[in-house]
Amino acid sequence: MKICLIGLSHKTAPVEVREKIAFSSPQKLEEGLMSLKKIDQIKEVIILSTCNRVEIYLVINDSSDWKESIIGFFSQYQGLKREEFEGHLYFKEGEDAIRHIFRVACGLDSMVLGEPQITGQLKEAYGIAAAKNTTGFYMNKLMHTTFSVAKRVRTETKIGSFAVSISFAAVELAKKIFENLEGKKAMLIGAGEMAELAARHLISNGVSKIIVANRTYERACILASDFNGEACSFEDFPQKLKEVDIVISSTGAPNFIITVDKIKDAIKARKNNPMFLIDIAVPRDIDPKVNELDNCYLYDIDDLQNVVDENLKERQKEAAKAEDIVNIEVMEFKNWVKSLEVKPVIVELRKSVEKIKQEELIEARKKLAHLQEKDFKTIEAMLNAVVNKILHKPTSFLREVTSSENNHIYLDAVREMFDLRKGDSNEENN
Amino acid sequence: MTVESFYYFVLAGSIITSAIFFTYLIALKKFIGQIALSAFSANTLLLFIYLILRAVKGGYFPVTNTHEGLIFFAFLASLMFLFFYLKNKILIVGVFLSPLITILTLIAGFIDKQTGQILPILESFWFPIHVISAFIGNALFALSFVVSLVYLIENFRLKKKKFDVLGKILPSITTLDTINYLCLIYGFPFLTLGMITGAIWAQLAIGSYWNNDPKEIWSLVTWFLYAALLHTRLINGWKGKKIAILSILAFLFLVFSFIGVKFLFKGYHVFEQR
Repeated sequence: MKICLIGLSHKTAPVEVREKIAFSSPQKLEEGLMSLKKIDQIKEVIILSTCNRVEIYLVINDSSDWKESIIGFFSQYQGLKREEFEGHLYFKEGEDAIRHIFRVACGLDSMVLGEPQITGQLKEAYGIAAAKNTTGFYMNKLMHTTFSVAKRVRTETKIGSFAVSISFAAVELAKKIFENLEGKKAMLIGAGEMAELAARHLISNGVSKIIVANRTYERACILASDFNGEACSFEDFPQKLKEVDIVISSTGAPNFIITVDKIKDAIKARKNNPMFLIDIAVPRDIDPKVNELDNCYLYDIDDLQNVVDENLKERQKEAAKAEDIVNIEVMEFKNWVKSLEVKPVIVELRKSVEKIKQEELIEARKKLAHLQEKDFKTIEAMLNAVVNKILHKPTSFLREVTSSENNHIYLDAVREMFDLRKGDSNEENN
Repeated sequence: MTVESFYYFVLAGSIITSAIFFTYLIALKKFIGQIALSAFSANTLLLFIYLILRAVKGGYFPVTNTHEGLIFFAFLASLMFLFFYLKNKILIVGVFLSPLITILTLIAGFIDKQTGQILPILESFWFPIHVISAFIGNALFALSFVVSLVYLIENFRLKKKKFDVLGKILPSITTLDTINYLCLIYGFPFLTLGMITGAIWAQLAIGSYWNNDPKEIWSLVTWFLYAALLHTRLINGWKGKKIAILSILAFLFLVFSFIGVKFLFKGYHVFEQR
């Protein structure tokens, strides 16, 4: 029994390849699972398919040519020539595979380091496989361990607690100023993808009203109705400044449209309640001197990008801690797998010695017919004691070497010495 | 063990608390913060026990000299912080407050710690009312001072666009401004009440509301400062940085009128035996 995986991700394959390999619908994924399960050497299988990665997790009982069978499956199932994708694939076995799965689940292998969605996506993938009965003893244990590792990393490190997109950084900053955004008002001057995204994040964090100002009033109306907000003509926006707590400006104006004087007036009219101004326009819309006014906080696109970069650095620091956790958990999982190998050997060893004991006891009974039953009891007790004492040391030795790097040497030696049945008795654990 | 030597437990407690808070500021680990909070609470209890012990031994309300005054001040300021912590969960204020508590306790150590030498003038109905209200005011202003310091730090960081892990534990400037406002708006009536009851008491004991005592003069200056501060806030609508700076200045005056006056001038507010 061996855990292995095959896959490609944003790190190894461009989007053109990823989209061809991806399982585009749950039905396709289910069918994929079923046809993989039909391959003889595959005992258990999970398919994880997201926009950034396609990975197949496998438990196989025969490690010869497994890569070939999966490549064959891909080219047949997705109708691709193998040259199209083969070079982008990675293969991992045993410990490497376990580590990879743990790292993926923790977001350590993600495009945005530490992003949390991947854990959910893996849970979904596992759910589909479990429903289709393509998982079993090993995969279930592996997945449950994986999810607990991901949870441990989330709670023990701060990997997820630093905003790493411009619009999230803006929301985070707004909270540093206003504590919470419930009932706050924001103004959008000019429209653009990033400004709209930031506005959406603000709304989902409690901002109650959005005022949209645009050079073309119609465009302002469309956007405003989109946000359930209020449109305002471009000429009128300075009068509205005093009403809003947050300003996001992204016009194509060649010079400053928001001057120090305008904000001074607004702040005065607001009775010095703080204002947060975000300038994502290039060239800038807001005079940088505005930041020098009391109770005004102005951030331009570079400032926000710096916040994101700083946060990424923090995430990288946290990622190092997460890797440590992953390594420990990989060791533990490996030990568990190894203990599965040791257990049956101990059972076999005990069985074979027990068998010898029983045979000898029967022989003895025949030869010593003159003895009474209670004498036999004594002889049997003595034999038991001898057997137990002889087996005690090797049994505890085997348990000790469970976690050692080359426990199979000892296991093979014991099998040889006691002429134990070689084969995979792990099945008994199922 | 004498009651007076219990002081050293209080001093040790406050130093340990400051050290743990300092560790928290450096390491920024949540569990260290929790330990610091527990230490702070324990130290507040120690301050309280010390005051009770002195009260039992001396048989009076334990604010009869500057030593007790400082301890009482430290105790009330601690209590106010814990009260605000329950509402706002802002631990970082403790990082700055615990050294202040330590300094107050430390200064108290240099002043005669003897109990039981109460001056006849203090055996008055007005005495506890006068000191309790004045000290609650002082404690709230101490908290206002600390919150203003944190405000200036956070404001500076937001303006200069500094971002690191420290930013994670600093509260928002709005929260800090609000707490400062609450401290001022509740502290001022207590200070006022303390001054009025003091005047009534002086009239009854000495026969004059106003005696040109240095402490009286400096307290009045402080009172005017806080009055001006509240005025700019409530009438002129000042907020944020300016209020924070004024709060810090006003508190420095308050500390001077509390301790500095005692050492620099002579007056009847110095109650220790000479």
